[in-house]
Amino acid sequence: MLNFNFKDKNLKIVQKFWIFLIVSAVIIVAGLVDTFFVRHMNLGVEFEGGVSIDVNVSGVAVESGKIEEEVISWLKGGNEKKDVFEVDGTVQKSGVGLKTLTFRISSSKKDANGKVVNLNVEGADNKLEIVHTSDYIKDSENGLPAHLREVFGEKAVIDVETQVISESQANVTVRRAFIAVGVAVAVILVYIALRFNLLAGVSAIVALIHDVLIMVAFTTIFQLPVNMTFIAAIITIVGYSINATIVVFDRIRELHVLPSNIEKTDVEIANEAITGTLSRSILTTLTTLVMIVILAIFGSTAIRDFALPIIFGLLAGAYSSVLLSAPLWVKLRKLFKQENKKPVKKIKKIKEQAKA
Amino acid sequence: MSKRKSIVILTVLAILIAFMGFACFASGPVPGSIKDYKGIFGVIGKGIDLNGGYYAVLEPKDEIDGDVDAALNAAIETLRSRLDENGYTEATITVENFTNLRVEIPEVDNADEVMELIGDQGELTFRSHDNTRLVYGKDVADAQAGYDADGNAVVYLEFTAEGQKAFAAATELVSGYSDGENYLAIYLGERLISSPTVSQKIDSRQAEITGIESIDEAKTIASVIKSGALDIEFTVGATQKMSATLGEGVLNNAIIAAGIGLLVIFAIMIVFYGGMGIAASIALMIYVVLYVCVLAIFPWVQLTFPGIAGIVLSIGMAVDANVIIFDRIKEEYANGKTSKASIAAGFKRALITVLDSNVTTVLAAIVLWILCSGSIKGFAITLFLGVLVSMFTAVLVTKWLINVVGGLVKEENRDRFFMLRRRDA
Repeated sequence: MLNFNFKDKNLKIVQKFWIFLIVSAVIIVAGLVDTFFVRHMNLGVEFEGGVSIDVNVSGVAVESGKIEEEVISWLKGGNEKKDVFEVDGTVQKSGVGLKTLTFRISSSKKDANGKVVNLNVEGADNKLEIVHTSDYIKDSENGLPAHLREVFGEKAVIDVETQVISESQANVTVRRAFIAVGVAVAVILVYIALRFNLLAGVSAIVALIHDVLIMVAFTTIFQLPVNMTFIAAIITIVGYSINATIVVFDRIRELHVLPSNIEKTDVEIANEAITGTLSRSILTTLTTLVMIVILAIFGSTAIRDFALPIIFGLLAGAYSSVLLSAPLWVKLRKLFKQENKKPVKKIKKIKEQAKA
Repeated sequence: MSKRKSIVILTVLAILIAFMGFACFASGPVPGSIKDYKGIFGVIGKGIDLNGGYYAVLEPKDEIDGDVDAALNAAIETLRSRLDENGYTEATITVENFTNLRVEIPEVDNADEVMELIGDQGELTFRSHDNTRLVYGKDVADAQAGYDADGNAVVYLEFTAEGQKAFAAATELVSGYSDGENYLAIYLGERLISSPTVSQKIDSRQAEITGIESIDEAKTIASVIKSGALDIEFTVGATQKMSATLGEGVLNNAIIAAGIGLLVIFAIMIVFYGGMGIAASIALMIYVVLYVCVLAIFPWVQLTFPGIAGIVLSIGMAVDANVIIFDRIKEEYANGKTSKASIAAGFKRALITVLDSNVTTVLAAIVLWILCSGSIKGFAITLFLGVLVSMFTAVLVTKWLINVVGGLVKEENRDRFFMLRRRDA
């Protein structure tokens, strides 16, 4: 029979808090430096604006997938005018119409190396650059139509339409999502402060922020595309990760009021709570990971791009709720000189209940 | 519970789950009929990414003065709230070529009509026969779609205090006109909705708009009135039906993935918790079919891929409650209680944990539901429903099932069957 039996072991997790914190801090700092100063996030069309391209080829028999392949390779620099036009960022395919294929490219102009859409127009600002890109792509002499005619022959009826997409609305949505997450976190904090105590609430929220930062860090480090689904992934993790942390604090709350534990220190109680809930933490993370990993295996690229941040978030959530949240609570209690404060009232109440 | 009773209950459950599972996920042609069976899962509304939809480009009629971006953002806000009100939370709006709005709506029946209403400038006006505007949209505090006593679709209006005065004055004026001219024309933008005859002054906070064809239309009209007028007048430009943006087959792959994931979870639960794991596995199957049914019942649920992933993830979370409870039972047993007492104590104690941890998720979902729009709102709804259903199945249903499954083995073997062990034994 399998069993994770940690209950009788003392893993001294609280004592190793600084080690765990440093591991997280290194990843977060590396990720944030990468996000803000080096490569930046790989933002999708929704956030940065870009060009949407509708391609329709008719009149000739075309193998499925051939158009897609040709369009993407041309956009990615397979054209002769490579020095003029090249996309080295995301080309998002999103099928519009029953015959028309739509591609979306994001337009961030970041620096000499990190450009997504790279059109050599001297001194052009970003908006102008996108318009040029859009016009260039649909240009029938030099652009995509010319290339497709070469590939599919003169008989093919080729229709290429381009639209410039602005970024504004997605940013509004994201801003609102972040405000909402902020409010949700505040509500959670109040709830935990009422049901547990304020410092437990603060520790739980710090653990949540940690999880989100780790997700952002890994998403930048692995250059996963960031679009609206990434926001959904973050929210999923916020909702999920708080559960694990609460389970640990619930155990602390329970151990705290046990009359037999009245002599125990915070460190001992936190360690006992962590080891007592460890098998549950591992098993739950395992079952949830199983689901999302299988989804990623079966899914297309777009699905994997959504599943990967969640997988990072799940791992970060397990890590923070087991190794960071309760030790942080111990440190905070020490900092605010509350380590000797025991919930005496509750003990009395429990004793009365036991008598009755 | 006796062995016979357990077997009967489990057999009935197996048939029920198999039937419901089939009803939920099967789809395809019905033998001897030209109709396709859609499955309960197929009935749930789906986003553009999974099922395609319809797009329309709204072009401003005249050039926009002043700050174009600000004007467009205000228009998007208004359109967004109209779409949300109509249950199209998964619709998207993007700015195209700097001045046009591209609206993509999943699963619409009568797309042109929806666009005409959604994209309408939408100022509500009550006018007399000579086109004098008497009551305006700003006079209305609230608008709700509903049915009148005869079962016709209507929009109920509630006026502001100012609006009540304006409405009373308007009805008094109009009722004084001669027959044929004594009506109040109700316009939404330049669209005449109805023109009821007014025979006397009506001094009332409420009014209703009749002459509406369907409840769907009434809902749209109510949403347009409530969201206020658009400052920009749009014309509907290019419109087209669109296929699923993530490609066909995504949904089937996700269902297969969920199925395989479930089997793996069953195996894990049974390896760790034996008989209790079996009970949890059955409860999990009940959770899945129940959740699918709940999603199908709520009309404002629109699943997108993140939503599907959310469901898949929620299955993982539903297991969590069981793991917490079972761990607790094991612990109580290890400390010397009988299996029966351990199970009772385990459920009782773990219930607090499960409640506390799930209430936080529910709170977060409610906040997102209220504050967000579009796909995040949709996501919050599915999350909220998933947590509620999972608490029911993971706690109540599992507790009952442990009793049932326990009945399968003899009393003296039950502790081993549940994989309960004494400490240091």
